[in-house]
Amino acid sequence: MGCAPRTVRRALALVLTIGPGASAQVPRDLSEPQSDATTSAVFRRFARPVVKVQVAETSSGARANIGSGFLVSPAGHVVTNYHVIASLINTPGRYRAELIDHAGATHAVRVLAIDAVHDLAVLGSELRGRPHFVVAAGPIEQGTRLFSLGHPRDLALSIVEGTYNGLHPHTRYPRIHLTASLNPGMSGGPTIDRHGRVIGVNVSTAGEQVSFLVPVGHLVPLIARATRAEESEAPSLAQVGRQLREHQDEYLRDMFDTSTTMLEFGPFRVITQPAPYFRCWGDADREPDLPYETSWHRCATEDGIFLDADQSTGTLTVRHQLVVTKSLNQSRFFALYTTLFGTDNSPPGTKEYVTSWECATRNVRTTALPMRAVLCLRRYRKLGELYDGFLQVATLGKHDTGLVSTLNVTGATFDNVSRLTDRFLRSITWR
Amino acid sequence: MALILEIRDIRGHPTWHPLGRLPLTLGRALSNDIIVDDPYVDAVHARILLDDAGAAVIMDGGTVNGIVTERGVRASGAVRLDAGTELRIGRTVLRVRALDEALPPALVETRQPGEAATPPAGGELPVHPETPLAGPIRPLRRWAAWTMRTTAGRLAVTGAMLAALAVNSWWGNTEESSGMSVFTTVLGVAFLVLLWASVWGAAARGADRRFHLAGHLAVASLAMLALLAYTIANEWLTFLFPDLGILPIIDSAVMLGVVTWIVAAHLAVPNLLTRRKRWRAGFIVSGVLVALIGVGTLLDSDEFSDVPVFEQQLKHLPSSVVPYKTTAQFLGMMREVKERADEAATASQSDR
Repeated sequence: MGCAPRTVRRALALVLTIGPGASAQVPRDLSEPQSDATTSAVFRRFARPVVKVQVAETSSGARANIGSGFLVSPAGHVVTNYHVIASLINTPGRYRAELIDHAGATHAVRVLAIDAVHDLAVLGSELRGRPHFVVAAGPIEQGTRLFSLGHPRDLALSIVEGTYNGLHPHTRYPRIHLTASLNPGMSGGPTIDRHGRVIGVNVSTAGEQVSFLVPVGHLVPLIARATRAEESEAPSLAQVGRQLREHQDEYLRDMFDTSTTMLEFGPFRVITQPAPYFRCWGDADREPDLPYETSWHRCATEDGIFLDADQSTGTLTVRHQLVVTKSLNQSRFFALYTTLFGTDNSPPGTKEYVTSWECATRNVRTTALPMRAVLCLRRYRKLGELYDGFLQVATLGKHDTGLVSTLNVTGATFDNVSRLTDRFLRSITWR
Repeated sequence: MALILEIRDIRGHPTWHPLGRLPLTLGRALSNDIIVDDPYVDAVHARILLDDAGAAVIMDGGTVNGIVTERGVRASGAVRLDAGTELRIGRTVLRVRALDEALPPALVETRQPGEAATPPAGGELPVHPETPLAGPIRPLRRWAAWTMRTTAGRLAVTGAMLAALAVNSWWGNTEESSGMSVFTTVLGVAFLVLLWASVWGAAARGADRRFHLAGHLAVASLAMLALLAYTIANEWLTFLFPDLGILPIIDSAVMLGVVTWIVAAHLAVPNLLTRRKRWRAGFIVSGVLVALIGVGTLLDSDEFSDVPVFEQQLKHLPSSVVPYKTTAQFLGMMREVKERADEAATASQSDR
């Protein structure tokens, strides 16, 4: 092994003492020889192909981003997350990427292929003929012990033990739920079983031993694409735009169609749980002192597609807010209702990626009921014809009951935003 | 009975002439016994003389505007001049007073030696209690004159404005203790209006060096009332016609109109400048505002915001009254929004 053994053992001790794995559920005895041997054996056998990936500014050389990666071919292909090297695609020329291998040597890399939707990237390096992982999808059982490798918080290469807990049910973009404490810096590193089979690529953590991996199934075609990189185009934002457009067509086409679940919300019937990967929750505000009651209901996916540290896309949110009064007169109720309708429930955005919102308000009458609807659009500057849509409606016609419903969709084509708007408007009805 | 003729000119300044040696002539020409500086008065407008019965009368000399009596009617023949008679020639008011008429006693001097002169309590030159208001007499104008020129009227306008504000505030209030909230709003506005009027009072002191606080309060209150009325009208219009592009233009026009009027009206309170100059001052201030806002808008137009801006106004009206669009029309409208967003994206593209 190239790394100084003493450093490795110290790192190991550090990881194991602060470490996670099953320690929250079952008290871990450090002297347990069985598990200790397996983890260190895994480390000994499989640590070499894992590298540190660094993104630095070309002019100053200052490090902008740090992550991990791993070799997957004898030709020097390195897998990491898209979000680790996104700066190279967003502002080409301003950043460069390099990797540091297990011996501590620095090598330049270039980006060969990207999959922004699944947050994966394949880099090309000069590390030929080195030990590498062979990536192939395969079955895995709930509760399997897994080992994540990477460079947490810029420390030396570390190994973290965890448990496979199936696919996350509430994400649009497939994620494996791993019970382990992954830390920033381990993004892009592999999570393997004790035989060295890659199960997923480390991608994010929610803290408290809840972490996520990109399932290896999406990696296989990407590596294939990278090996043909000479024929295909260089990765760029335009390509990201195309990937996003394909992806959103796929998942928005049937959104809000006639098979969508409906919810009885006060005197209205509204959309809920648009697809299985959404999570919905709600609450009511019934303070006795207030002359009115509000309740809300919200459905959203738990993730999005990374574009930049301040900008993500590919999300959809549905929100309903009901307000009912028994004592306010009409004029006062509508003053309150106006304030609720004016609330900003739109997604954030940065000047670099999107334009300002362009809006139009109309009073609309569907077959079911009259409402005031505002539709706002903003366009992505660098991703082709992709838009964020914000639709907010307030039902009219009753002097003591109102519903404000909001639809937010990001990273969609105009046709899809249009179709969703049409379906959403028609979906709101009386019970 | 000895009589004296009180002549109040366009600006309200009085002069007095004893009607001793009759006949007397009145008019604009300098050769008259009583010279009246009023462009609506003829060169030789009237003569005051004794009639056959020995009473003083005034006769029109075949003039353009004639002599107008209290009832607003042009006099046909001679008009008797008794104590209390009130007439108008051109825009000048003539009033006949007896030499020995009753007057209120002199006020007690409370000013310390060296102290600056302050206006007497009431803030107005004492007007004879039985004198009806001078000026062209028609009911609406009389009422307008009362509100704008007497202290009682001015304070009444201010009170009406505060009352309207209170009602409007209460009407749209959704808090638990709406009374408290309305009270603080009204108090806040009253304070601001008083401050505004005081600033104008101090800055726009006329020849009489007085503050005319009530007058400035009335002007500010009328402007606030106009704005309040317009805001309410605007809310309803915005609700009914959210796609009416002309509304922002009307908003600006109304704002500028109010600014022009308020400047001219404030200057009119202490009788500063001539009417034409007052309005010119008003237009100049509006013009400066337009320029400032225009520059501000131009500088601001590239400003990025990730918060959507839209007309959120909701009102409760029967459905038959509100002009609704169909879903198809709404979707058609979306295309225009898309085009605006596309333009914004390509515009920034060309800057790079």
